[in-house]
Amino acid sequence: MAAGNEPLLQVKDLRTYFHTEAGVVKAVDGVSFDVRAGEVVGIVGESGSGKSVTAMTILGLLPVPPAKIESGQILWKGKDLLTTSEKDLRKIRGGQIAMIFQDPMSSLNPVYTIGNQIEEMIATHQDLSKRQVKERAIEMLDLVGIPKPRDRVKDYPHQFSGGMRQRAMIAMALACEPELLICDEPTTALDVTVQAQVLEVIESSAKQLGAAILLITHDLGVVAGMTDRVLVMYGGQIVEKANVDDLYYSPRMPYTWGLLGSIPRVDDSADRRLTPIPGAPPLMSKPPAGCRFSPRCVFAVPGLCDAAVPELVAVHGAGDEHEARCARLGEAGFADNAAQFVGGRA
Amino acid sequence: MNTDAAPLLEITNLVKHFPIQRGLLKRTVGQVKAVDGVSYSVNSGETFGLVGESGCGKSTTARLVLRLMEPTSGTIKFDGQDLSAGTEIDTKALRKKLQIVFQDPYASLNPRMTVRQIIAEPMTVQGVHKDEANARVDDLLTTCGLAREHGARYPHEFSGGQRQRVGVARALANKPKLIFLDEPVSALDVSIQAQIVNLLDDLQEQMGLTYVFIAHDLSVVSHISDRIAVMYLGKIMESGTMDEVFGAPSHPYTKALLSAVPLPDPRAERARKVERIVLHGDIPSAADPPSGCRFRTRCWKATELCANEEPALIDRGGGHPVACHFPEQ
Repeated sequence: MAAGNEPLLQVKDLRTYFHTEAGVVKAVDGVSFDVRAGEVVGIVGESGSGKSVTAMTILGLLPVPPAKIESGQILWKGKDLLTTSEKDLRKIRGGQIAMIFQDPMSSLNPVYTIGNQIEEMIATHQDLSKRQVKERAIEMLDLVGIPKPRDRVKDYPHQFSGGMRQRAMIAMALACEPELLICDEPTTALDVTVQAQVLEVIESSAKQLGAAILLITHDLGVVAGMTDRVLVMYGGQIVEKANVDDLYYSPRMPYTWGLLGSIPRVDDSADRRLTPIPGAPPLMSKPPAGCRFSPRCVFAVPGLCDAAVPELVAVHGAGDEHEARCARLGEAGFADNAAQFVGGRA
Repeated sequence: MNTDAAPLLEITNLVKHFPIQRGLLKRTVGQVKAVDGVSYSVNSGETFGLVGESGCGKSTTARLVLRLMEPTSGTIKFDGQDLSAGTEIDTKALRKKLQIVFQDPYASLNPRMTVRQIIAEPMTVQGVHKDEANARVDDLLTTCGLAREHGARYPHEFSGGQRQRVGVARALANKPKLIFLDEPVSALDVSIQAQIVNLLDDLQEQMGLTYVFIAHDLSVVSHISDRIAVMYLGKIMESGTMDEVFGAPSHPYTKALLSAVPLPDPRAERARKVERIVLHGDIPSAADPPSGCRFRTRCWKATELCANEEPALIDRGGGHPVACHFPEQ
């Protein structure tokens, strides 16, 4: 079916709103992007930017109501997941698209052994004998680097450390050889040395199985090291989209500048002062008029930026597929402003 | 009094063991060695960073100095006063000079008190007159980047970053000499994190504050600290100035830790990835730490010597103390 260049996943103009007592929260508001076979796409953004809701919507995991998918399409190999029956969706979810969540303790069932839970996953999606299923579970634990997998398969989640639990989650996610692995903040709850282990496991095992990765995180370091392309989300919308080098070395959207200017680095010089973004992210029940970032943007022009939401458009003279959402994008010399945030590092 | 040469805070061989109790009679069957012989000193006006992964004892150290917990043993000297284990301490007087900002701005502010009451409370406790306290709250709100009107609101009306500003204002209320900052920005988004880091920087400059900055995030610690100590399983592995420790790490653990931090720089990351040191296994339990060097179970340099003999934290030629038999370089 899917020809060489056709994307595996196409999200088109997705809008997921939550209907709450406080009003309508536009958590995802017109998001479009593709994931091609075998590539690693990152979604970065701060809490409340809509990155996790995007992932949950793709997998059909949001409770409806309060969530409601107002419009859009999620094409998986050309088939719209939003109109797929729950029965068919179950086959795709876990089988072709798998997910790793942030907190492995709350996503594993404490009363079943690690082995049970991986076996359940395999048995649901693959036609194997009981013994084959058991062997496959052990194989998967071995793949993600759990020592003595034959013994550890009988352990319960509480007998695993945080890093091992997350590796068990990866084993479960990869057990059915999915074509797409969605990782939602996979290492946020882990210590930095364990994070390095887990990221290495995700990357090498996905590569081995040829799976594409959609990596959702707030950590710009993790994104820099792992992804091919990056989407930056703010206020429920994608505000910049580029391949990873372009995003870090020639960012075009003031929010991306702000993000890059905000992060301290281990290799910082002692006197570098951070350039934080003033204010706080918008409440999505009352999004600001015009550009969602305009109230916090030091470059915002009254009458322009607060008038209408700018479109996500291709950046002229930039690399392939570089798009940004900013009313002042086309202004001569505007991109030079980036220097005061990323400070000549590029 | 304090001369310029004497450190503001001096901790020697600080130990905190938590008993593990089992059964009906609560027999003690073991000890969790949370802090197991930690020594460091903090000079007036500097920022001392304490880094390490979860469970290494960095936060416990802060709580012991503040006497939020009773130390098992060890000596603590703060501003000419003896706070060692077993001594009677006037905690009220102590906390006027020694304060703490906690990690979670949601859990550390009383939801039933207004921000004004929260910030004024430490002053009320110290017997400051109401009018004076009120005037000081106004000052503190503005210094910490909040508006005076915010005083009348409750914590739930604020965002995480603003709440952390309230936490900082409360810690500053009685003009302390030293503030422990226990993961003050870990719960915040990056754009907000930078606001608080800059605020802490400015306050230190304006008021001549001394900080002990505790965090697991090496980038934040390296950004704010003058000197630093790296902890692992209740012990200090390496300490020195920022340049010494992060510029030329001697302990294999420090090296691995630094190598594990992803840089927000794709080209640098691709290059680093090739030579990244990925530690195997997990941090052992503090109830049953490995013999000899605590890091040896995950160390690629470990030999029999490491299992038999615990390396002391001394200068081994690198110019700063390191607890390793086989330091780098």
